[in-house]
Amino acid sequence: MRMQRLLFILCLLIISPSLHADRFRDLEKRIKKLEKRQAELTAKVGGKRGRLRSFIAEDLSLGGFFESNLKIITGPDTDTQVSAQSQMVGINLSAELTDKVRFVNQDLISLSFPLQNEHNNPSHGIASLPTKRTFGALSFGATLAQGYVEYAPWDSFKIQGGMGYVPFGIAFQEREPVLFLRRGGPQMIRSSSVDGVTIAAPFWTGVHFLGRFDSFEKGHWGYDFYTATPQSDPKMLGGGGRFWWMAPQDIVTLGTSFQIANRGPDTYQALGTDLAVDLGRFGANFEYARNFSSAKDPWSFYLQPYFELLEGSIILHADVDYLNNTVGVTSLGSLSVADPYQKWEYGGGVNWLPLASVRMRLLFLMNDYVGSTAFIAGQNRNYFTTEFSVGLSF
Amino acid sequence: MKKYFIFFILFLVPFSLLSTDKLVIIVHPEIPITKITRTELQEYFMKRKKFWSNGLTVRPVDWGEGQLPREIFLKTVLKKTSRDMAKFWIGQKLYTGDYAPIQLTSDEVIIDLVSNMEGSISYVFASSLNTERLSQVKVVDIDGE
Repeated sequence: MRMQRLLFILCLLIISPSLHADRFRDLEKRIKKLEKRQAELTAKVGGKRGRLRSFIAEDLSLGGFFESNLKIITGPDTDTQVSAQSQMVGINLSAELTDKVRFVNQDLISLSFPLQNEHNNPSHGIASLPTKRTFGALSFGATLAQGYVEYAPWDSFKIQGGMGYVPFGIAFQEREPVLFLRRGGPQMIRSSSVDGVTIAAPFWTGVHFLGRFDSFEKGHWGYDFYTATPQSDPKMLGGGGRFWWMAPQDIVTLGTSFQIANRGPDTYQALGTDLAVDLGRFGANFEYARNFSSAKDPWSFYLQPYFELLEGSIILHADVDYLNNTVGVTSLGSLSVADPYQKWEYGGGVNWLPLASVRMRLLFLMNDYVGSTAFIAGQNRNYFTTEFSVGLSF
Repeated sequence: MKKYFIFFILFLVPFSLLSTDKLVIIVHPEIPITKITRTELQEYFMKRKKFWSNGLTVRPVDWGEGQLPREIFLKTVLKKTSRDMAKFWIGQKLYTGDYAPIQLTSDEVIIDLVSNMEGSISYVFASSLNTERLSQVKVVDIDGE
C-alpha cells in the first residue's frame, strides 16, 4: 500500500511539470492570438485616441479646453474689485478625410464680466460708462475661431481655405488661452482699437498657403502666405506672410512676419519679428511688432523668460510687455471714443501643471501707464492685477 | 566574501542587460532609407514632416506612456520628456487638429504593425528582433552611431 502511494506521488511529480508547461504554451498561444487581434483592430481603427466615427469622415477627432479666471484689481484711482470674471469653453473638431485632406474647426463660447473703461479714462464722454474702470454687466460671446479645409500634398506646400489664427509672430498664432503661461497673452493680441486692428488683423480669411523645408543639419525653415479681410476695412482684401527658421532640436525659432491691409482710406503695413529659445528647462519668447499707418504707428514688444522645475510641472515666468497704442479706444457697445495710451506691463507668475493637460496659474502684474496720457484729468490710470486661472484641455 | 561576490554579480546583471539591449529603429520594408538622423526622427515622431521621399505618408508608431522603450527614446533621441510631448500634442490638437502617433504596448504588436502598415516607423529593443521578425521589417541605423 505504501509502495503504491509512493508510486502515485512519483507519477504526479513527473506529470505536473509537463502539465504546467502545456498550460504555459497554451496561455502563450492565447496571448499571441489576442495580441494579433489587437494589432488588427489597431490597424483598422488607426489606434487614435479620442476619435469618433461620423458621416463626415472616417476619423473625427474631438477635443477642446475650458478656462476659468478670477481677477483682483487695485490701484491709486481704481476701486479694489474681485471678480471671477471669465469662463470660456473651446471645442475643437478635426476630420481627416484622407491622408492629405482634412477639416479643422474651433468654436469658442464665453461668459464674462468684462472690464469697462479698462484704461480708467474719466473724460470719455459716454454717458452710461463709468468714469473709473469697473467689472461690468454679464456678457455672453460665441465665435468661430478656426474653420478651414486643408489639402496637403507635400510638406513643402499645403493649401488651406476658410479662416484661422493669423500666422504673425508667436502670440497671434498661439491664441489658445489654456496654453499661455500668462493668461490672455501679451498686449499686442488683446488691445482694442478704433477700427478693430491695433497691430495686425487676428485671423487669416480666404486662402492660406504654407510649407516647410528641411535641411536637418541646418534646421528647418518655412513660409506662410495668406489673405485676410480685416475689421478695419472689410471691403478690401488684405494679406500677409511669414518666414521662419528653426534650429535642430527646436533650440531656437526665429521668424519675421508682415501684413498689408486697409485702415479706412489708407493702407497699413504691419511688420514683426519674433524669437523663441527653448533650452530644455529654460526658455524665453521675444516679439516685436509695429503697424505702420498714416501718422499713427502703434507698436509693441514683449519678453517672457521662463524656467521649469520638477520636470515641467512648475513653470516660473517673468513678463515685460510694452504697447504704444496710438489707436486705442474706450468703448461701450457701439459707442466708442479714441483713447490713445502707452502702457508697460511687468510682473511674473507661476504655472502649476499637475497633469500636462491641466494648468493652474497665478499672476502678479503691474499695469503702468506712461507718457502724456498716464494721467487724464488728474486721474491715475495705473493699476495692479492679481489673477488666478485654471485651464484644462481635453 | 562569497556572499558579497554574489551580491555584486546580482547588482551588475540588470545594468549589463540594459546596456546591451539597445533600441533600434524599424520601418516598413518599402521605405527607401537605410540611415536616419535624430533630427529626422524628431520630425517624423512629432508629425512635422509627414511624407517619405517616395511620397508615402509617414506613420509613426509609438510605445505607450511610461514604457521603458519610450522613456529611453524620448530621453536619448528626441531629447524631450514625456510631459513635453504631452504638452506638444495638446498644442497641436488645438492649433492644427493633429494628434499624437498610435501608442502600443508590445514589441510583437509593433513589429507586426510596422511590417504591415505602409509608411510606418517605430523602435524596439534589439533583443526583440529574432530572425523571423527581422525578415518582416527593415532596420535602419541612426546616423552617426
